[in-house]
Amino acid sequence: VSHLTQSPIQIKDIEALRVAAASFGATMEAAKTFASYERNQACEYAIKLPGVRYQVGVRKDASGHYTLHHDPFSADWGPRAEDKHDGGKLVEKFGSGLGKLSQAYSRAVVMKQASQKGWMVQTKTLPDGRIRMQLINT
Amino acid sequence: MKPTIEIIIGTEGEVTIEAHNFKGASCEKATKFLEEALGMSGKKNRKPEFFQQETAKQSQRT
Repeated sequence: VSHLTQSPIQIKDIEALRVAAASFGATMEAAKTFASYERNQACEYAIKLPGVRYQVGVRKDASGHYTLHHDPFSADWGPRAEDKHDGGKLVEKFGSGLGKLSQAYSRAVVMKQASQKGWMVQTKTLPDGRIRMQLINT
Repeated sequence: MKPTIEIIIGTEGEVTIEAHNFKGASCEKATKFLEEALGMSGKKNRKPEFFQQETAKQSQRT
């Protein structure tokens, strides 16, 4: 059974995605495939968390933007590495539907753009989990 | 009041942008770089300030 899920946001800035991944202790590398239940799932980049077999796949779509893909499936079917399905660990770290990673990406894009423009940034996490960023033209 | 851009990033990475203390089209210009970088193509909600004329802005200053 494949449970491959695509995140709703479009990624334009691959370096901002690298910054976002690093904020969770993950690394992003160029890769032709990423680890999930289905083998040989194509991608341009794979995001890896230390000690987790399943990976987040970063794919380029027809418009030239990237999208995030992962399989949240978890099961332990035996001693071999390929019997270990640990997509749940991706969800634990990156949030349901990779929401936290997507949020960190948007934040990284805003920080980068604000810094290039010389705007001051004030960031606050709201009680409901949303992030409010205020850019002030100094 | 200094021109300010307020950005809310939702729990799935979705973004809303609001510009404050800009007048007229300068508001759209100010947020364009963020919309482009974030790949946003959503509908714009224009606040009353957008429809304020430059002349009105000038008269406020006097």
